[in-house]
Amino acid sequence: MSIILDIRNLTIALETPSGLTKVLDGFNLQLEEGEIHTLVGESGSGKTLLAKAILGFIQPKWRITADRLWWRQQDLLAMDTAQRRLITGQDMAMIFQNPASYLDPYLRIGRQLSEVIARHPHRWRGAQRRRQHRQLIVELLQRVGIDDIDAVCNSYPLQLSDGVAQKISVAMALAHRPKLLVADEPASAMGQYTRSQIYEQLFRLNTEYGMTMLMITQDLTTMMQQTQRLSLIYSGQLMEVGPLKQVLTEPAHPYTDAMLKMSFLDSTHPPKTKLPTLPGSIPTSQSLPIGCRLGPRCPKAQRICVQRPELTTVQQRQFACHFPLIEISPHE
Amino acid sequence: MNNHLHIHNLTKYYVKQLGWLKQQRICALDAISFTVKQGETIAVIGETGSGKSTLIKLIAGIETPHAGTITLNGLQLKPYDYASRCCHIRMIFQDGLASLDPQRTIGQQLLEPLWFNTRWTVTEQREYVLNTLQKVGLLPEHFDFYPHMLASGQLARVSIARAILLNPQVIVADEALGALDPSIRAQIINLLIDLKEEMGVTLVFASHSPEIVRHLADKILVLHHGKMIEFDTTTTLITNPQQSLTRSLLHTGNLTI
Ligand SMILES: Nc1ncnc2c1ncn2[C@@H]1O[C@H](COP(=O)(O)OP(=O)(O)O)[C@@H](O)[C@H]1O
Ligand code: SF4
Ligand SMILES: [Mg+2]
Repeated sequence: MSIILDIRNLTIALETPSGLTKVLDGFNLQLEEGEIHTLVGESGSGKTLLAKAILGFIQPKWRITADRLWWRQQDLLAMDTAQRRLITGQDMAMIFQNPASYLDPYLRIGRQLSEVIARHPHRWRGAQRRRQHRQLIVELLQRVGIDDIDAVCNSYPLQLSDGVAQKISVAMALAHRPKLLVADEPASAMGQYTRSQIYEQLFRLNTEYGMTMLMITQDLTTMMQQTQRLSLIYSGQLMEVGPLKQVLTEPAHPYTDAMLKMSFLDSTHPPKTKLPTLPGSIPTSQSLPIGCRLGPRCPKAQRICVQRPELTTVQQRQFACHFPLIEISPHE
Repeated sequence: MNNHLHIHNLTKYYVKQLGWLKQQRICALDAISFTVKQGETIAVIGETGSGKSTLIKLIAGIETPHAGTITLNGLQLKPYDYASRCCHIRMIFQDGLASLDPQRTIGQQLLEPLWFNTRWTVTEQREYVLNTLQKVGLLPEHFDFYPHMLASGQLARVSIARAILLNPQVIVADEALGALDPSIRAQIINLLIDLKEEMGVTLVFASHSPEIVRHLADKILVLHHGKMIEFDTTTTLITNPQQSLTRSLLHTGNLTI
């Protein structure tokens, strides 16, 4: 499998009242073409910032450095804004946590969908005329599970519920059919049923068109079955990455282990018993620990943890910890 | 005490304006009746818009029903009588930051319910609030903090501190845990388990997380379009639900690895 997105040692520093802080600290991510990759991290860990850096939605104040930020062998950091926009527009799409905020509030939904279709004529050969647009829109909306098609097409984004608005974003991704789709907590605010509908549609984009996907979530959720690989980020640092099953059945990193236990995913806690958890709270950008940022909350931490652990590679897995939970044979 | 909290025929409409003259009456809660025993934990589940928040707000007395009654230990709670109700039934607010006054310290805001409902001296009141802070795992210095100085997990603890002031008999909560980060959520779940054991308080909470519901609830109430379609023990509803909706709402689809 080829690597479609290759990020090495990405650091994003922001100006804060207490000085320059690295909200993303030497982050690594390799996406294989056609995979679904899930990135898990608690709020403020830098997930949205990473997504924006990939898509090029960057504010001038951000200081971005990286050994590598490559999209299909092209160096994104070396490009000017116009080139970068062209690539994002053609190849990438993002689904946001709050869907209504990124749909154009002044245009009816039908019009917005029609524009996406018009902007990507190569995907819809022979469907240029208005009537055919209409037919395509109906098909798209039916596919994402919207019944009331006329009413939805005539609405403005703010008139829609979050669930419907998010289904519209999925429909747009369907129409656009990018090579990479980044979904940033696409259903965290929604009920269980809507949530599974949205995930199901997203997964279909992958199985039907081979779309590469980066799914961002706060939680180890049950929607993860379709994922091939899993990355865990804590406070801007990559903790662990590897194939889903290996990471979940045999976590190498104390953070992964804690997340599994806190997320009710191992069913060893009878109801009404206390859950294992990490003490303390997530560090704020004003008080980032030095070295491994999990240190103050980590059950395995020792003095050496004030030095940043290297990323260790064991076969298909990587993790950054001085005291990993799995054996590493010296030959590897 | 079997008829601790008794909800009878509780009904609430909302009126939706459709254009100039046309109105549509939406029945948010349709003649709900059920009884809760003292110390029980009840989870209210249902799709978005099924009436969960309405039910919680009616019990908390934040909204008034169009029909029906709420009885606590044989005494009917009057709508609008929020002052007396707030000693018995209190709510954990979902968004800690939005529900607090940014201009006043945590301590000042926690003292407020004590002014009206106790005859304690200033020192006694302060002592009581410090005690409550400690109960929810906060420090005495948090008394003088302003809301924005606290992290999300600490704000969630303040919300709980506010709810347990004056030892209410019933605490209600609407999606108070769903948005929290996993590590903070687990801490708060543990805190609720502790407080329940210590205070024997009754808890009625709405949630869309099947994992949390299964972990905390004694009984589950299922709402669908404002109607109660099922109400039974957690074990029964997990093993033998009568409604397919119940099955899908409680389905955790645990990762089979
Ligand atoms: N535009 C910005 N200006 C300043 N700080 C920001 C900005 N965006 C994010 N941050 C800070 O960067 C950190 C990571 O944020 P974010 O990427 O939004 O995390 P996540 O998506 O994982 O919740 C947080 O501490 C946040 O407060
Ligand atoms: S490096 Fe140290 S503090 Fe960090 S996860 Fe490993 S043991 Fe814990
Ligand atoms: Mg985010």
